[in-house]
Amino acid sequence: MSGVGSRSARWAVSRVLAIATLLLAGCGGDAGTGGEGGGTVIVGMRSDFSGINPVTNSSYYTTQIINYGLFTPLIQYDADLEPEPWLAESWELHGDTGVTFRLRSDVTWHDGQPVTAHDVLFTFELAKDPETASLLGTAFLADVASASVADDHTISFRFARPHAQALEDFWWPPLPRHLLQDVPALELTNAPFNRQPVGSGPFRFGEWRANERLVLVRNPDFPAALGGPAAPERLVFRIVPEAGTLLTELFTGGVHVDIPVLPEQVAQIESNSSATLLSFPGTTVYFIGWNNEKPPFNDARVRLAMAHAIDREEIIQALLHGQGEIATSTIPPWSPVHPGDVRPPAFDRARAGQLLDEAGWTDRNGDGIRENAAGRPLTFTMMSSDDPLRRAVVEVLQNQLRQAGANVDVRVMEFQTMLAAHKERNYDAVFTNWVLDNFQVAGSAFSLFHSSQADVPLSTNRSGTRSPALDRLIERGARATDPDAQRAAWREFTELVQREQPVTFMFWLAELAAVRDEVQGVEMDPRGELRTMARWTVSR
Amino acid sequence: MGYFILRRLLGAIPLLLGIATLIFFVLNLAPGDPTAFMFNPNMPAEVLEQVRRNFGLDQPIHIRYVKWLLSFFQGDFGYSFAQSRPVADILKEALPNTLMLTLGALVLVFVIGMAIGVLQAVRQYSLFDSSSSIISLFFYSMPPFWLALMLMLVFSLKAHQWGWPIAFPPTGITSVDYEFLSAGAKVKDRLMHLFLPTLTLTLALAAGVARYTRGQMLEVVRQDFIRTARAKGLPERTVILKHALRNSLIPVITLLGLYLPLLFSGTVFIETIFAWPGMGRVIFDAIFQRDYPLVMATSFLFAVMTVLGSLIADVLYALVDPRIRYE
Amino acid sequence: MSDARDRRPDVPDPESAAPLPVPTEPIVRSDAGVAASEPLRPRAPRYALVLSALLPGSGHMAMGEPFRGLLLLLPWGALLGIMYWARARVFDWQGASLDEYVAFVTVVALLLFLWASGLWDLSVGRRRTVDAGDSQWAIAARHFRRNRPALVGLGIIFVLYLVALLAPYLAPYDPIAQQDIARTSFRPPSSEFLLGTDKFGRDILSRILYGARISLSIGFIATAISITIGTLIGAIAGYAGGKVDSALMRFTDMVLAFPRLVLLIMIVALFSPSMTVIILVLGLTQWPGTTRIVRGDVLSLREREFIQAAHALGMTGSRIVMRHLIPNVLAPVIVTATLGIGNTIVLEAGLSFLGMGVQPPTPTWGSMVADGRDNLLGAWWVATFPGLTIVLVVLAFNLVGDGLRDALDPRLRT
Repeated sequence: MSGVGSRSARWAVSRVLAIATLLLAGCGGDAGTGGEGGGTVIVGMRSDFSGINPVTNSSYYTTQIINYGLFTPLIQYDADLEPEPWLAESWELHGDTGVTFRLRSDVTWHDGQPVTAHDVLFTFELAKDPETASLLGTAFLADVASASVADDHTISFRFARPHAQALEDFWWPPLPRHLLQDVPALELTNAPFNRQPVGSGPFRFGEWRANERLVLVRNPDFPAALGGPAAPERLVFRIVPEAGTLLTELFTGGVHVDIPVLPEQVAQIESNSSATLLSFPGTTVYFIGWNNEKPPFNDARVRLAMAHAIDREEIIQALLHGQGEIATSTIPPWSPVHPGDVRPPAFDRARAGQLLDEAGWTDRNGDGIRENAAGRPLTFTMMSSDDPLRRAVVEVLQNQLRQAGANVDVRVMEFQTMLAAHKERNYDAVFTNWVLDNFQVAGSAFSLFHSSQADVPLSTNRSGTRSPALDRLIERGARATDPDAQRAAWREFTELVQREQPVTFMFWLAELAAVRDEVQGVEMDPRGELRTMARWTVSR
Repeated sequence: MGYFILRRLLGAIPLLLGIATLIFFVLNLAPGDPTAFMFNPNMPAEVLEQVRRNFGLDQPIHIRYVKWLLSFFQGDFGYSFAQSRPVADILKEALPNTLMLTLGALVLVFVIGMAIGVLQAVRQYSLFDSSSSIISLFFYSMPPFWLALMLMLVFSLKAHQWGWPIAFPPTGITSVDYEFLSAGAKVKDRLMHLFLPTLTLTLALAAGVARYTRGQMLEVVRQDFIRTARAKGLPERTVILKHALRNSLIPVITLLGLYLPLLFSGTVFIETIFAWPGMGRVIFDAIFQRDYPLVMATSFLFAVMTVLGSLIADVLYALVDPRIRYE
Repeated sequence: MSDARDRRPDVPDPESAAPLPVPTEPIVRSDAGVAASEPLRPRAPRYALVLSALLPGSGHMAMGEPFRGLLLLLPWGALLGIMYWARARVFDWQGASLDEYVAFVTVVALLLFLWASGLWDLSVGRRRTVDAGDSQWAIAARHFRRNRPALVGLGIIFVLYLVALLAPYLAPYDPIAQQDIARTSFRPPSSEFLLGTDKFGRDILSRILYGARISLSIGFIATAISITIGTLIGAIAGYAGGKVDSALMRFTDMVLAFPRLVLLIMIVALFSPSMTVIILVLGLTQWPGTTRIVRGDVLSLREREFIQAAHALGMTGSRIVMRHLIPNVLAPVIVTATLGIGNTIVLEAGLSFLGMGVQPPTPTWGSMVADGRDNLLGAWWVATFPGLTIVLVVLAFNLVGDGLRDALDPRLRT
C-alpha cells in the first residue's frame, strides 16, 4: 500500500485463522506418501510472473514466489499474523528508535555461499537507492533510515521516526550481494539475475520460459528448522491465460491447482468429482468511486441515494455465487478492529428516491430518468476495466440504478485507459478495487480518503475526498495504541464513510482456487495462495 | 530478376520506415503509460517518475523517436519494459514456438485445401462438390476462437471424461515432464500438443484455399489448351494434374504470399486459447502493457513479413509461369 | 492484425494482387437457353381476384397454383400470427420506442405488399417473354436463381433482416433488463426460456434477436464504408494513373502492411469502444483489398473504346469515373461486399473476445459468445447459440457471395 503518511500505530491482528475460513484440500487418499518425495506438482495460473527480485518486484504472485519459494525473508507472519522469526532467528527492539536482528547461520544461497548480514545490508541499500525505483524502499521502508552490520550475522536498523509494529517492515528477503554487487542500480530492473535468480529458499530456480512455465526444484540444503527442503521434487507453474481453458486443464489433470478461479466457475468445480474448491477471505475490496469534485456526486445526498439504490446481496449471491462479504470500508471483515455491526445503507429504493428528491433530482418529464431544476438528466458514466467480473457487476449496477431513476452509461475500458482517467479524476463514477498489500488499516484509509492527498496530482485519493472529520478519525486511528481506542476510532471512521459515501464500498471478494484431490497439503489464507507451496505433494 | 528483387527491396525501405514512424507515434500518443500497468497502481508518484526516467520516457517524443531509430538501425531493439530483458531474447523464445505451429499448419492448409479444391472442380456439381463446399464454408464461417473452444471441448475434455482411447492435451507445447521422456515419447508428446491448435488453424484456413483453388481450376479447365489436351487423348489425370493444376497454381501463390506474415505473427486467438507462448501473444500482451520497445519490434517485423510475402509471391510467379519476366 | 481470420482471402480475394475474374464486356448478349421459363396465363377470373383480396394466396389456390398460393398465404399468416401473439406490444402506443415503430411499419408494409402482389399477379396475367437485349444483370439474376445454396443463403439473410426489424414483437423478453438475477441466472434451455439465460438472467433468445440488428448493422455499415472508400480510391488511382496512382497505391500498401491489431487496440484505447468507433475501425481498415481489385479493373477498362469515346465527347474526369468506370467494376465489388459483411461479423466477434467489443448491455452476437466462454463447461448454451447464429449468418452471406460470383462471372457460368 502507499507508504505515504502515518504508518504509526498499526493495529494488532490476532486470531485471523479462527475467523478466516481456511479450507484444507480434501486429503482423500493416503496422506503418508511424503517420505521420499512429493513428485511434480503443477499449478496453473492465468498470467506470467514478473522479474524475480524483491527490490524491483511489485506484483502479487511474484511476491509469493519470492517469499515462500525461492528466498528467505527476515520474518514471516504466523497464524495470528504476528511476525515470526525466519531468516532472523531473534531480534531486539531498541525502544522505537531501531532494531537489531540476529540472523540464522545455516541458510545458504543456492550456489553454496552463506547468507550473511552483508547481503541484508546490500539489499536494504539497493532498495533505498532512488535509481532502483523500488516500491520496497520507498513505501515499505519509508520509516527506516539506515542500517549497519555488526558481524556476519548481526544487523541493526535505525528508524526515521517512531512507529508501531515496526518489525513488519522487514518482511522481505535479502539478495545475494556476491552476484549483484557489480550491477549498477539503474540496471537492476533489467538484470539477467531476475530471470534466473539464485535464491536461498526451500526451492531452487529450475527454468522459466516466458508465458509458458516457471519451474522450481527442491533445495535439499534448506534448514530443517525452517521446514526443511520442499516436499515436491518439482513445482511447475503453467501459464494458461483463458479461464475456461485452465479449468479444462484442471479437470483433465493437466494442472493440479488452479489459481484463481472465477466465481461463476464455482458450481462446475463443486460438481466435479476430481477437484475441490478452496475459498478463503481475500484482501481485495471492490467499491464504486464517485467523483466528489463535480456534480452530481459532489452532493453527499446523491451518493447516499445511490448507496441505497444498490442491492449488494443480489450481486453477491448472483454474480459472486456467494463468494463474497459485504464491505463497509477498507477494513477487512477478519480484522479485529472491523466494526461488524456497522451496516451499509439498506437497499431501499423509496429512501433513495426521497434523497434524490431532496437533492433536486426528480423525474420531470415522465421518462423514468430524474432531472434537476435545469432539466439536466441524472445521467452519468461508470467506468470499469474489461475484467469479466467487473463488467458483470457494472451491468447489474446499471440495471439497479436505472430503477432509482439514474441513467448509467457503462464504459468498459482497457485497464490502462481506465486507470489513467481515474488518476486524473476525469470520470463520473468508476467500479474498481483496492488491494491490501499487507495487514494494515491506516495506510489504506489514508491513501483513499485523507484530504492531504486530494490536491496531490495523480494521488491515490482518486475520488477527491476532502473531509476534515474523516481526516481526524484516520489520524486518531493511526495514532491509537490501545486496542479499544483503535476499535472506537475505526468504528467512527466506518460510520462516517457510510454516512457520507465518498466512495460506496461493495464487497470483499473471496479468493478462490481449485485443487485436484490427489494433491495434499494445500492450505490457503489471506497470507497468500502459495504460502504453503513447499509442503504440497501429489500422490498417484 | 535480381534487379527486380533489388528494386522491390529498395522500394520497401521508405514504406517500412513510414510504417515504423506511424506506429511509433500512434503508440506513444495513445493514452496509458507503461509504468501504470506493470507496477503496483498504488506506487508513489515520485517512484513512478523514477521508473519513467529509467525507461527514458521523460524525454520529449521527438528525441525518443530519433534515439529509437538510431539504435533500431544498429539492430538493437532495446529492453522490454514488461519483461525486463532484451527484446531480441523474447523474440528468440517466441518465434520458434510460433513457427512450429504455423509452418506445419500452413503446409496442411495448402495441401488439403488445394486437394479439395481440385477434386471439387473436377466433379463440379457432384455430391462431393456441394457437400465439401458446405462443410468447408461452415468452418470458414466460424469465429476461430469459437472453433478452438469447441474442438478443445470435444477432443480434450469430453474425450477425457468419456474415456476415449485418445484425449488430446488442451494446452501447452509440451508436457511438464518432457525432458524426462525418451526420444520417441518426446516426438509423440509434441505431436499430441500440436494436434488441437493445428487442427483449428487448418480447418479455419483450408476452406479459403479450397474455394480459391476450385474457382481457379474451373476457369482453367474451360480454356482452349485444356480442350486441346483432352482432344489429343491425354488421360484425364494428366490433363488435370499436369496442365490444369499448374496453371491454376499462379493465383494460389498470391494466397501463399498473403499467409506468409502469419508464419511469424502467429494468431492471437489460437495462441491465447491453447496457451501457446508464441508471437501472437507477445504482440497482444505488449500492446496492452504499453511495452513500447516490444510493440515496435514485433509490429515492424510483421510489416517486413507482409512486404516480403508479396515479394516472394512475385518471385514465385516467375518460377511457375514462364510467361512472366521481370526486367 | 496478426490473426488468421482477417488475412484469409476470399475466393475473389480482396487483398490479392491478381485481379478477380470479372466480366470484361460491359454488356453481355446471350441468345441461348433463355427461353421463357413460365407458361403464359391470361387474366384471372373475377372470383379469384375477390378471393385474393380477402385472403392473399387463396385466389392462386383456387386457380390451381397451390405453390404460389402458399408462398403468399404462409407469410401472411405468419405475420398475422406474430401480430396476434405480440398484440399487447403491437397496440401499446404509450411509450413506444423507435424500435417498435419500425417493427410496426415493417409489419404493415409487408402485409400490404403481400396483399397487393397477390392481386397484381392475378390481374395482370403473365406475359413474360425474353427480349433480345437482356442486360448483364438479368442474365446474372437468372443464373443466381438456379443456384440453390445461394437461394437458401439469401432466404436466411432475408429472414434475419426481418427478424432484426421485428425483434420487439418476436423477442419473448426484454434483452437488456435483468430479472431477479439470483433466481434466473444460468437457466438451461426450457419451455420458459427457449435457449436458456445468461449470467444476468437475461433470455438468450431475445438477446440473439435484438443482437441481429446490432451485428447486421455493424457488418453492413462497416462494409459499406470500406467498399465505398476502396472503390473510390481504386477508381481514381486506376483512372488518373501516374503520380496520383503510385501515391495512392503506396498509401494502400502501407495500410495493408500496418499491423491491424496494433491499430485496433490503439484506436479502441483512444476512444473507448462505442459502436460507432467499432464500425469505423472495421470499415476504415478493410478497404485496401477492394482498392486493388477496382484499380486492376479500371486499368484495363481505361483503354477500352467506350471510355475513349467518352473522352472524345469531352466528358470530365469525375463524370467518366462515376458514370462509366465505377458501374462497370461493380460486379466484383458486390461480391466482395457480400463476403465482407460475413467477415466483418466474425471480426466483431473477435474484437469482443479480446475485450474490445461494443459496450454492455448492448447485445451483439460476438460479445455474447465472448461473455459465455468462461463458463462454457457449466453453461454451454450461453456461448453456443450465439456462436451458431454467427456461423449461420456468415454461412448465408458466403453462399450468396459465392452464388453472386458464379452468376456475375461469365467464365464461371455453365
